[in-house]
Amino acid sequence: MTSSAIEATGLGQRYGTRWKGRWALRGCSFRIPTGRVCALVGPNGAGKSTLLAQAAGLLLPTEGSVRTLGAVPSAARERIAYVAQEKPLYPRLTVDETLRMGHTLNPGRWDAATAERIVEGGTLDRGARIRTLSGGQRTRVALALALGKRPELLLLDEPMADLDPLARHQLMGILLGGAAEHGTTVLISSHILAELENACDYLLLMDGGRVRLGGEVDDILTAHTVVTGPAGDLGPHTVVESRTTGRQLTALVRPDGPLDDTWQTHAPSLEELLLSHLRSPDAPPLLTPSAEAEPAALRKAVSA
Amino acid sequence: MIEYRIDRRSGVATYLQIVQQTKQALRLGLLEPGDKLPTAREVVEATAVNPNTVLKAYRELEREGLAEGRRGLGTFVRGTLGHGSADSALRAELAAWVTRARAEGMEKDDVTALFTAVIDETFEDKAFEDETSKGDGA
Amino acid sequence: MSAPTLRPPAPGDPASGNPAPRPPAPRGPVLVTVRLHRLTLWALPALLVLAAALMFYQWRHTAAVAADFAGTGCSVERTTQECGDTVRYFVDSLFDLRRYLNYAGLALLVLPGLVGAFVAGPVIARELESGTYKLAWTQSVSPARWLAARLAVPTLWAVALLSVAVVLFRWAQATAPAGLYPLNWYDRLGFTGLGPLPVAYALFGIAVGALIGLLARRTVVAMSLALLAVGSVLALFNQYLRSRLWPTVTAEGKQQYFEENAWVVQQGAVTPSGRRASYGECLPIDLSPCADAGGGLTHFVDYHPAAHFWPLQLVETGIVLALAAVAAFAAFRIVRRLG
Repeated sequence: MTSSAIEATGLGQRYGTRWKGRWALRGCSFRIPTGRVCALVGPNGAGKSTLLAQAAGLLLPTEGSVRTLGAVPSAARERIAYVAQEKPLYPRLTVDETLRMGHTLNPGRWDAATAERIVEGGTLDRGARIRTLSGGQRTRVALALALGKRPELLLLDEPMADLDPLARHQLMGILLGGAAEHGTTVLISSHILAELENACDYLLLMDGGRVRLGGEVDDILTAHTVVTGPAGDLGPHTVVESRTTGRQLTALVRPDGPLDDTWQTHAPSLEELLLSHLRSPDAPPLLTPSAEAEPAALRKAVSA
Repeated sequence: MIEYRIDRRSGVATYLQIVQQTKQALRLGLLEPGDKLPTAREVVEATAVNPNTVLKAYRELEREGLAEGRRGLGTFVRGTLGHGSADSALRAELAAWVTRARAEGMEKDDVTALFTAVIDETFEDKAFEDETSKGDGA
Repeated sequence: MSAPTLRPPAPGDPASGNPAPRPPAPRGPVLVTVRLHRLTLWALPALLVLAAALMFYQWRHTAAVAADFAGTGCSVERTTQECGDTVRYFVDSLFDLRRYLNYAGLALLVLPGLVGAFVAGPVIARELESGTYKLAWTQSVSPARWLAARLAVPTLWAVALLSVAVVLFRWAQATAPAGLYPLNWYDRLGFTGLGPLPVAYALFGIAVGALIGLLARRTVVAMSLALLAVGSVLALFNQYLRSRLWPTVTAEGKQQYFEENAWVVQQGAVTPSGRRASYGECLPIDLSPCADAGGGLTHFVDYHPAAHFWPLQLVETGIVLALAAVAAFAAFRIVRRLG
């Protein structure tokens, strides 16, 4: 069993007071092994940003716990990099000063070559103040700062939203190249799956503050089948979504044993699969074995 | 050195695209035994695909005996594809056949469709054998 | 399934070189704080130098005028026709210096509040408001160290600059030419600026500013609240508390007596029965219950002699520093929760 990059147990976050609060996240238990590039997908308001902020040690969970790289997030601070959705940077510093700040605040870790490569990939005046930069240029500087830290866990909240397709491809390449070289675990959120589909080998689907799917992309895909046939009983199989048109039924199922010969089957695409789940909020969640959080009791027993 | 192009819309799994493009390069003689394949990092940076996908493709090439990983050095081409003179004889025959098809008034699409249909028919059983042997091997 | 293991070294790639582990630089966050606020940090000493230069210029001018005046044989008390303009010129320049000194005293009173507002707003709350705290707290530096650096820089700055300012103020006050309309040691404008109090209030402003900034999370709101907080404490001491920080000296007698340069806190009459009464109760004297057998009033005066300046300064300084410590402790508790 590989070690965990992130492990959440009963994780919840409430904004506001106990009486007038809103749960952004509740009852989330999952695990992401190290070395994975994991897509954190879900509609807006699913709780993705909250989860990332908790993992970055910026938010204390209201209930449950999250551990990053085997420690509480604040104890792993030096080994985690985080880019928030709005790419916060000090507007009055120049690009160069911002990178120097990265060096100053991460002594012994800073990888100036990587940071500079990211910045130089764009048409960016190194002496320009941050406040004069475009959204895409800011993203570039924010990513340079995060990757320059050479983290073991990289948390990115909608990092590509402001980038043009060319920059997106280039930066994703650098990001994944770094991950390949250093074995970095990457957790990257987006509400657009297409931009992540090829880049990720792990998936966490969130919706309404809950984790709906978690695990290796391949395993999740093979766990599901699209069946088509005359309307009828789907027996012991777990039905995620089904639609009947006339006498024909189309359904996304998680087969439990071999499927009846009367059904025509085909493998769903990842997008198809995610959309089906989002359309059916009552479908039971699915975590592949590697994505299941170890119960706390078991973990204690192992470490004892 | 080979450069991979990943087509996201092709419907072919990404790792298979890498495997196929490597084989294509071997067939065309663009890669020869002893040549170094790009590192996972280089492929990933150029294509923005997941590192594990590249590793999976390289493992597949190794499994088929077409490449070998040398510790600390990278992945190198080992085998060859294609059949030398027999290959060019087959090619000549095919060229003659295509010329005849054209002379008989077939369009390019017609030729391609016919060709694909025959290949699918011929290789269907073969592919099945491959699958089962893979299962045994694992 | 295991994580990728194929990580071929890339020769010639500078990123692959292992950097020698360097000792952590505790000055890192401090350097960043200085870089972020360098404009303000430069402006403060510049203003101090400007103010000191103005003051020095006026002081020299007044001293020169005073020296000239001594040579003319004119006197302020007995003005002759010929001396009119000379006396007026001399008195005017004395008043100018007095005004400058008053401004300086006022500045020393107000500066701590401004320092507090600066810390509360631009230094702390703006980071929370604009979200840059997410950047600052996810580097290799804990929020507590971030806060420590954010407070250490203004603290050092305020202590150094205000100490210099107080010394200059005391010097200007002490060496002013004779005949200057006096600023008493217990005057509101004078008292604070003549001792360590501006420094203490500045430290309180910084600590309470940090606390307010962390709680308010809005730049403008935090600045206003910090000004209000420092202003209230200052006003409280000025209006009510200061005179009670050290026991007063009481004088009683037929003469209304107290030491020169004393700060009179309370005065009145003593009735024959020994009760203290205000002069309002006792006047006119014939009707009053205050007159004793001798027919006169017995006066009492509660006052602080000039010698009480330092005890009063130090007690107030101590209390303000204690308040600052409480506020700083609370501020650090807030960020400590995040590790």
